[in-house]
Amino acid sequence: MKKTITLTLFLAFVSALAGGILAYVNSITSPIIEEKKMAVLRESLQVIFPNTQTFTETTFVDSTGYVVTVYQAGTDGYAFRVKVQGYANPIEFLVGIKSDSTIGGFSVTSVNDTPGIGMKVKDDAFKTSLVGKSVDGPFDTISGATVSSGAVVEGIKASVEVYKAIIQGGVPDALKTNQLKIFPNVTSFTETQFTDPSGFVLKAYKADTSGYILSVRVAGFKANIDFLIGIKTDNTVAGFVVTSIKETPGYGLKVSEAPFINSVVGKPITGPFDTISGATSTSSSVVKGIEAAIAAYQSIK
Amino acid sequence: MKSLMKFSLNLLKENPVFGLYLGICSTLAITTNLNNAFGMGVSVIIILTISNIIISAIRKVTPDEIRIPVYIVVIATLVKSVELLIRAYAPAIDAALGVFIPLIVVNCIILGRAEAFASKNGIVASALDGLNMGLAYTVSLAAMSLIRELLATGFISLSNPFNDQIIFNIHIIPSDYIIPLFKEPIGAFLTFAFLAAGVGYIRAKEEAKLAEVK
Repeated sequence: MKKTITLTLFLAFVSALAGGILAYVNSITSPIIEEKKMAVLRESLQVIFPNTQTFTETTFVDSTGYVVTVYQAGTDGYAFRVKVQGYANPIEFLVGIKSDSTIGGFSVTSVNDTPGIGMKVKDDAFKTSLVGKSVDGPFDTISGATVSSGAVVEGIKASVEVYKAIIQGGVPDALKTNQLKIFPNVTSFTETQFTDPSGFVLKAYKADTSGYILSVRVAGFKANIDFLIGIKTDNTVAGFVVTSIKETPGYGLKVSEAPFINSVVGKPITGPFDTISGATSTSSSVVKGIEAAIAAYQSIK
Repeated sequence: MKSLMKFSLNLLKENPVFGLYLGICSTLAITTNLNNAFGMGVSVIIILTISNIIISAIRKVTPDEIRIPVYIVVIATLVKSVELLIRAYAPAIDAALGVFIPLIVVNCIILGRAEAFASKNGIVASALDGLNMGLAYTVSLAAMSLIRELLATGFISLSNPFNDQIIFNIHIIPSDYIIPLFKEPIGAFLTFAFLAAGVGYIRAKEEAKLAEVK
């Protein structure tokens, strides 16, 4: 018994000492590291926008998950840090979109695919095929290196989507528009706290005295599906708006079409919510999201 | 004097990679070019030497029952501190070696030498053992990378990690005859198998010779 205590104390002492050393080293190095990181970032962004001095990070919404960070390059345009899965390893690159809606620059920061094949995305030939093009494309892949270059093109398309969302009046307004589709007479929506064990519910908004709107993200058949669901104070569904979806037309895409929406709206929150036959995978995950939203709604009440 | 003798010990006989089969995960993963090999090699030499010194210094106060957790804490603290210091004060080294340093924590050579050597020997001997093992590891990495880089790209190149300047870049195999497969994991396994077999053959022959003399 005494032995056990001695051993425990010794290990605890060693660990505490190690923790202390690490905390000390971290406290001296972290400000320097942070500063260096910013300098490197600025340098890499200036490859894309050579004449811009200041870059500011902006908020954005990206349903694909490819876009990591967005920087506003003064009035010159926007730079996007993108990470996609290449053939063997993730490919990271920066793409700049100028304010005239053309691709202003492209620079691969990290790629580790097969030499002579996937590594071609780093070649100048690929870069020149992109730079100067309109954001509407088309962006060509490299024949013989379709997987790597296709992934990069997908990442660029995701950046273009984000770019368009930003210049079309900003993301928060898009949210407001969708919220008004659910509660047309409400003027103010305020974010509220909620509990959601499922993890599907992203945010909850209180729509004055009319009810609540919950923003939900579930995994669809192909990509994530984002939707907003409104619940009135009389415990019925006020509205259902799909904000981001990439499912198969004729199948999973049906969850964003009128018959499904009509089957949800107006229903009491006790359900049951029906799935779509022939699109079970997509619609059942949406239904799970709806049920999670209702549970979150009840946690707020 | 005895420790100096140990230092010059045959690189083949006590080679950690091809002799003791330690640290193979990192060897297979990073030996795609010479720059990686030297980057990882130098990082391991430094950390292995320091960790051997510390563990040798505390070997008398460490209770036997919990020595392994204590070694792991020491090694992890050391690696993380070195990583933070390099990142803050030597960004050029960080750019060159940054990805390898966290990998060193799980490199079994470090814990292997702490357990097998540093916990039983004096500080000077342990430091030399760290240097010796680190060098042997570096040589093994360089041999693997040389073969893989040459076969996969047709080039042999080395650049200065501090300014990315190319020291040499020799084109040996025409690009029509390269085998890109050698950059892939399967190429790593193939190269490793052939080299390990070769080293095993030489060792077996030497041992047979020694047995005859006896």
